[in-house]
Order: sequence, then C-alpha cells, then structure tokens
Amino acid sequence: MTVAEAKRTLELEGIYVSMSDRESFWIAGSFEFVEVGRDNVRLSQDACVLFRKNDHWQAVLPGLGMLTREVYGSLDELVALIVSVYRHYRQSGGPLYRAVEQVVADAERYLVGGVPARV
Amino acid sequence: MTPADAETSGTGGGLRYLTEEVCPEMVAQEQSHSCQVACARQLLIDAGVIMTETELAERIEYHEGSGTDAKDIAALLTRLHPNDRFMGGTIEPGFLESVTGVAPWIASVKTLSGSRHAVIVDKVDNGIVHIRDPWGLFGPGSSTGSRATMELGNFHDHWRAGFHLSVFRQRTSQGAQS
Repeated sequence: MTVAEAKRTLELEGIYVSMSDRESFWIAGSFEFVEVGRDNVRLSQDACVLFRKNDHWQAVLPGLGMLTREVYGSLDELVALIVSVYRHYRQSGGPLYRAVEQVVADAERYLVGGVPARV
Repeated sequence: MTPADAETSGTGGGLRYLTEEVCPEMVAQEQSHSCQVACARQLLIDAGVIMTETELAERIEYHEGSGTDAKDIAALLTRLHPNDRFMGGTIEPGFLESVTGVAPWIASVKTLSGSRHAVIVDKVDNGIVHIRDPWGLFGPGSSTGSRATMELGNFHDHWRAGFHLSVFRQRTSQGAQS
C-alpha cells in the first residue's frame, strides 16, 4: 500500500486525514474549527497519528488520560487497524480509547506513558 | 542558561533540551502524573489566580497512573481564568504557529524514555521552542520547575508522539462542528 492509497482508504471511511509531511498522518474521526487568532484550527477529541519511523510505521492511539497505545507494523496493517478502530468507535460510541481497547488484540501490551523514568 | 544534560533533563531524561535552568516562574508538579495540572496552575498564577495543586486536582478528574484529559484541563482553566477561554484536545499539527500566537499554551509530549509529559510553550523564536517544565531539575515536589529550550524539529517529534494533545487559549469563541 502506498501512502496515497492509505490516505484514500481512510478517507473512504469518512475519516479526516491531514498530512504534515509525506510520511506523517494526523487522523481524526471528527473535529471542530476553533478560531485562534486569524486561523481556524482543527481540534479533535478522537484523533490519532500514524507516521513512518525508521523502517516501520507507528500508530499512536489514545489511552485513558495522558496514556497512549503505540502499535508498530506495516502501513497496510496499521491502516486496517485504524479503520477497524473507527468503525467500532462509530458503532459503539464512547471515547475513542475504549474502541482501541476493544479492537487492538492484547491492548495492554501497547500501553505507554506510565510513570516517568525517574521519580 | 546552562546546557541541558540529555540524561537528566525533562522528566528525568528524555526531552531533547538545548538548555534548562531553574525557573521561579514555573511551579513544580507534586505528583508523578500531575504535569498538566501543574501547567494549568502556572497559567492561573500568571493571571494572578493563586491556587494549590491539590485545590485544582480536587476540581478535575485525575486518574492515578494516567493523569488528566486535556479537554478537562481546558474546561477547568476556562472556569478559573479571569480573562480567557481555553480549548483542549489534539490539534492538526500544521497549526503549531497559530496556537503559539496565543501562547503560553500546554503541549503534551512523549519523552524518549516513553513517558508522557505536559509542558508550557511560551514562544517559538528562530526555530527554538521556549518551554517551562513542571518536572524541573529535581522532579516532583521540588521548589520550582524549569525553563528550557528545544529545537523546533525535536519539539515536533516529541509533540507528534504525544499525538498533538494541546490546551490553548481561544481569544475568540466561535467554532463550528465539522
């Protein structure tokens, strides 16, 4: 799957996709425009990111509070995962992190952002 | 300014600071996951509203081990700040300049050690991001936080891995649902 195909696949699901560079997606199930200064900023409560990191791709999905779930894989795998998460999210409602918990197999394994390195 | 030590700067290591120094204008967080609350507390102090971290934490849903939601922090600030309305959530990354135009604002970043952390962004100047960090030089419970600088490219990396979670002030209050 190419980057353009990945973007098109997500958009066909009704998911908003913004690319900050050729290999970095900001993905939102919904958003509102917030006027900040002279700009309308897209603000989302159900977004995730997908980007290339070295020789693989990484999806960062929301967890409770400040936690996230980080999943590594091929672009095909992660786009398929994100599509599944948003389908579940739209069908079942609730916060996006709940859909992530229910769709991602062994979701706890991917949880990051816990206790800082040195307390 | 002192050069930052990559081993020790930013939540005990893991934020690529160029410089970091003790900052009396930044409170220190009191709990391991209360960084967003501490940042909100400092924004209120900047506006003349003096509250303890405990008083703020009592007014918000604080999840032990995972901290607070950006949206909740924004709502708390809107209730308590004398002048400004705040919004919280994840913002499209191309709008960093827009929110920095109404700085200071709170950014959620991921450290190299894997933890998530919140800092105040004061300005971006010539490719350098100026930050106040509630972790400070000595960790939670110390007397002050720190002031630090980071290259813009590195900030983008840390912020993206924190999936662009932000709490920022909205000088005007109009928005439209997509």
